[in-house]
Amino acid sequence: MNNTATCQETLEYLQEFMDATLTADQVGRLRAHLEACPACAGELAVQREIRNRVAAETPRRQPPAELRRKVTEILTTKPREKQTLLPRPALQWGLAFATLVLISLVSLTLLNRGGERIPPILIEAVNDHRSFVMRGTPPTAPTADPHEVRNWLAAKVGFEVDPPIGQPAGIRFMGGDVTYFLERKVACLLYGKGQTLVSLFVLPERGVEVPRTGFRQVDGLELYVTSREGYGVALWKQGDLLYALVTDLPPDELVGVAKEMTQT
Amino acid sequence: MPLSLSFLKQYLLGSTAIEGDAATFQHEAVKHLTSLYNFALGLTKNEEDAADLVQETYLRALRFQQRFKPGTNLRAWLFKILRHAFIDNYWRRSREPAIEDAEAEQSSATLADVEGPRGVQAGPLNRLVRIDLREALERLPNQFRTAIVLSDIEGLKVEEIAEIMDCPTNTVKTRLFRGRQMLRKTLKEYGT
Repeated sequence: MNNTATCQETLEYLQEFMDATLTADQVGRLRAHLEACPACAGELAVQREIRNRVAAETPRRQPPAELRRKVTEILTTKPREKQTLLPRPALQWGLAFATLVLISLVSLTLLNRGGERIPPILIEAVNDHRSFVMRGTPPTAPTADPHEVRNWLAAKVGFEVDPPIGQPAGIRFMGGDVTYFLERKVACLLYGKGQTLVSLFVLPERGVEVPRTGFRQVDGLELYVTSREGYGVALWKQGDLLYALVTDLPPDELVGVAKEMTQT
Repeated sequence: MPLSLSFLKQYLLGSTAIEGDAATFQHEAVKHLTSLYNFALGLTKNEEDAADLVQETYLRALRFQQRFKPGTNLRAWLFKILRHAFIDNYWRRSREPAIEDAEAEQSSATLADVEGPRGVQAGPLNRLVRIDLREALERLPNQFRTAIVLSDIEGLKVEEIAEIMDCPTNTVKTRLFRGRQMLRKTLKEYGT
């Protein structure tokens, strides 16, 4: 290996060189180059000078006392779950028992409703959509450029997803995210329609349980539409991928959006 | 999704270990108030908005506290929450800064090809106006300024900044490199 870095390498690692996060070997190679190359040495001097000036000439301001007080108050407020916990062991066990009974009843209801078990994908997709709504933060890949999101997702989930644009339905693409359910990585494409969030979950269909009945033909597409916990859900397959669209738009709009998405 | 035993224990019985973790989290989180406030000031350019942003950051951090992995970088996590909260609020008002940044990044295709800050036209008249480093920093496009503030004022490393700004480390390095060159150019033309 050459003991001297090139100009390109030197510029590429200038920041780490200043941060002192390079290995001794890397530092040696960069130093050797900097000693021999006035242009790169000059660039290092400029970067160092500006860095030092930024640190020295932008003094930090102390937060107002009122803000400090409010933050302390926020941090010392116990999360709601803990505030409502019952203090005495007998009541705690009572609550534990009641909760377990409730969980059993709900599970039995879910299992027996209509004689068909609710496929986990419907439960997971709605849960994740709700968490996006509650979280209120932008997607991890907050870009409206579908190609950028496609590449970002391919690196994260290991399969390729072309984000449907959905423009004709008045949907704006907001970005992509990744979630985990059914023990696999799932690509999330987030859209907005007015103030309403629309989540499209995409995952390889292999091995995923879907409803056995209820799919219907909509313009040549096998579409399953249902509602769960106040959200509308549409499921369809395209190629090897399974799509789950979740939103609280009215059912007719949900179908319209699903149709648009399968065509773009 | 099945409920885990540990979740049931947490939810139903509470746990001194959990409360201990919460106390540690709160103790550690408050240490970063000054850094977060200054970062928020740089983003909002307004004391009142900065204070609101910091409060929202702590509220979100507390709400998502269970997602934080003890032993990992709490400071970078808080900065990331703050930046997301800022983007979230800003999106509701205007998307202009994102557009400006995208254009600014596209305008400089290579490390050697550096454009001056937007809105600053070099010329004889402008030479009469002197600006200091702080003003020059504020004139930088948002993404460049954020990277420089996190690196040069807050002392964060490239990987941490990349995590906060949701971008690859090479993008961070390019923003730092070009941002400092832009600063130097502005200071040369208008400052000291």
